[in-house]
Amino acid sequence: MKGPHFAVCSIIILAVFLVAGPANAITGDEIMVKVDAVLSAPTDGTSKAEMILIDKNGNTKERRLQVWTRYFKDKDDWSLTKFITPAEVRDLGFLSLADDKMYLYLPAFDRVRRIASHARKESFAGSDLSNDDLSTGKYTDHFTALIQEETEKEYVLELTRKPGSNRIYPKSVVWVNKENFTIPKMELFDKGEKLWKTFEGEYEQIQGYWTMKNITMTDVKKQHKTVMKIEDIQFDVGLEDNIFTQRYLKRRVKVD
Amino acid sequence: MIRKSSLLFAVLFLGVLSLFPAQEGRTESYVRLGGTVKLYTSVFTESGEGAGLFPHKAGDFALTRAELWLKLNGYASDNVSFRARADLIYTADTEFNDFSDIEAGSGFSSEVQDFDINFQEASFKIMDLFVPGLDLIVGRQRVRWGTSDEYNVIDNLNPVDYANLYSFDPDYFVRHEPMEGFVLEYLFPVDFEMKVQGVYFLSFKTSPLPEGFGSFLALQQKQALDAFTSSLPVDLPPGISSVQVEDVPDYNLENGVFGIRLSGNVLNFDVGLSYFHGHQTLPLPQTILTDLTGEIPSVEGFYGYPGLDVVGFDLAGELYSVGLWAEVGVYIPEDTDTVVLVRTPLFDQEDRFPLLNRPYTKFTVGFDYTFGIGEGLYWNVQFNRGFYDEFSYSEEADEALGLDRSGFLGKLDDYYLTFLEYSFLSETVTLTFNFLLSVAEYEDFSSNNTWLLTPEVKFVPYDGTSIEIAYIAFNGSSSTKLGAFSDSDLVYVLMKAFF
Repeated sequence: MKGPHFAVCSIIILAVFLVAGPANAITGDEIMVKVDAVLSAPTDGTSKAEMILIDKNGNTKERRLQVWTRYFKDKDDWSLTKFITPAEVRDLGFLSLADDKMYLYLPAFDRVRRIASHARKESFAGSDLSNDDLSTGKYTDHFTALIQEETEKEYVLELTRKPGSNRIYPKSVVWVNKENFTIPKMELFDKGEKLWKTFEGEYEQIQGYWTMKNITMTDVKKQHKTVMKIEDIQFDVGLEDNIFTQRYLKRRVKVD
Repeated sequence: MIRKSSLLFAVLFLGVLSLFPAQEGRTESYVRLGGTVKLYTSVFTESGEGAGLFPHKAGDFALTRAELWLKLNGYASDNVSFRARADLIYTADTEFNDFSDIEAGSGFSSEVQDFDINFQEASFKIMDLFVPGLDLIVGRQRVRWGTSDEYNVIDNLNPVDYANLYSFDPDYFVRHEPMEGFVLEYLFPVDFEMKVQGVYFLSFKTSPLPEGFGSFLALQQKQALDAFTSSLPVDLPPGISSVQVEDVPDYNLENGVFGIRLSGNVLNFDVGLSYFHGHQTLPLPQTILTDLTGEIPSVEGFYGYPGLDVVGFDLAGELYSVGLWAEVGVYIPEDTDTVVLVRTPLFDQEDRFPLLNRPYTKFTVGFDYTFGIGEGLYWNVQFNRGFYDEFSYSEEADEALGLDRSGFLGKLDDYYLTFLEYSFLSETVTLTFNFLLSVAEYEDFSSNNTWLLTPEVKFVPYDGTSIEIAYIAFNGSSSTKLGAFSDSDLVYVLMKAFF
């Protein structure tokens, strides 16, 4: 199920949303093609993120991340995520490449480990995001979309995981803004088709791209949520391809 | 020839460095200090008066150690980074046997103040040296090869720290000693997943050994001597045994350690091909001299560190979402003979034979998978053929010295490892269940296996700290390496704060 994945992905990797005009007699799959297009509109981007984990009693934990992303129109995006805080995970890194290649850098062991796609199910750093949410890929490669409902401002789509896809959400319901093809809301379901997580996103236009600034991912089952605030966003900065390698995954992060 | 190649590598390396002009780099200096404060303490939960090297009573502390790890890293410029780590270690030792233990020195004996500083790392890295993609790392460092978890049969550049292996502190499990030298890495511009890495460490370094290791070797020799003399038709008193280390490679260019590894991605699998040249880091018998000409029989063992080459292959990837890895190391020991000399009043007998088979193989294979239960139940399974301290001894060596046995410095055993890990409450609590089975012989399985069971719970009450409690249960034949710890079950607590 790709819906949640993309929503979170766009949050974390500063997926960008371009303004697009409304469409007539459009299908669900065509809508998601447009969503994919705006997600991967920039050439590249960098950002910092503050991740706040909130349990059902209101207790909080904070993590800070730095993210580099390389966008592609015709293949999976690349992303490199490094932890800045807390101290025990500082410099921990996560590299997501095309063809489901994922690597984890463990600074305590100074070691890069290949992660198989089964690890998509695991929570990312204790948050309500999974590794699947952090990986990169196009919605249309992994999901089929059907329009459930159409309002004046939004399409409501049901996304169903394609056979053979390893995405962890088999089904999701996605709200797509008709004006700019952003995703303000998603509901993500588990194998038993029970509601698992909800996603909400707030957007701003930065350098001409619609950009996720705040997201809230709530695990309905655990009554736990993760709030992410994206800062210092810059697009089209000319990131070189060799940044998305194990060589850079091991680099220490400079903290301002 | 091989030693000459080591020298040649060093000369070529220095020559290449001198050929290139300096490059301009932006000076944007950045420094960060961090580290860990740690307390590890373990307590025996059962008595083991006859438990091999570590006789104890239930309730005895096995090891208590407080540590401060200081880590400094940063950037001298955009292309030049550095890192250093110093560990300050205090080991509590409360075994006071007499007044000298507490009166020695300037009021503080080593028994009371057992303090060490371990300089773990001090290196700097220059990225894009001369050409894009070429990196140079200089200094005291650890270079890890291999794709499998924890244990890598091709990971031979840095010697294993056996002194702390039996501390059962997870931070010291198969820890490798850092070495001083150079690493050159080149990332191919046409394919960023293809990399060649050359490593040159300035000199050979032995593995740190556990306290009492010399006595352990001497005891083994004495047992063999007494068994031999008791088989003779004359009545001889118990023998004496001594151990000497000789043939330690000199500290010079010729005895540097070097390796080269080419890695890339083939069919979505990460693969690597490597070559290591160095020395054995554990002392192996060069000459065993048994003397029956005196009143008291004696045996002297002369140990050394012969050369070693290892050709390695490693692989990591996935099939149907299951993570897979494999490593094979083809070990090619130096072609030297061990001498066993027996002197008697009537005659001298000398046998010469190769100590180790040439070549022999160690390998490891494993897989992992995450079940979609809660926040993910992680399962890891691995099989290892041969641990770091194990060798494939020749038939002649076994006949003459009885080396083809299990135990430390023994033959290649099989190890089956598995663990399950589950985190919940946003990784506030992590439960881990480890199981290890070592098998020395399958034919007489019941008396040639040992298992080790370790349930662990890790608790993170706040960011920046962790508390880990584990129980380690041993059971098995005392003839195996881990079986020596039967009757030595223990509980440990490991507490850390990070800054």
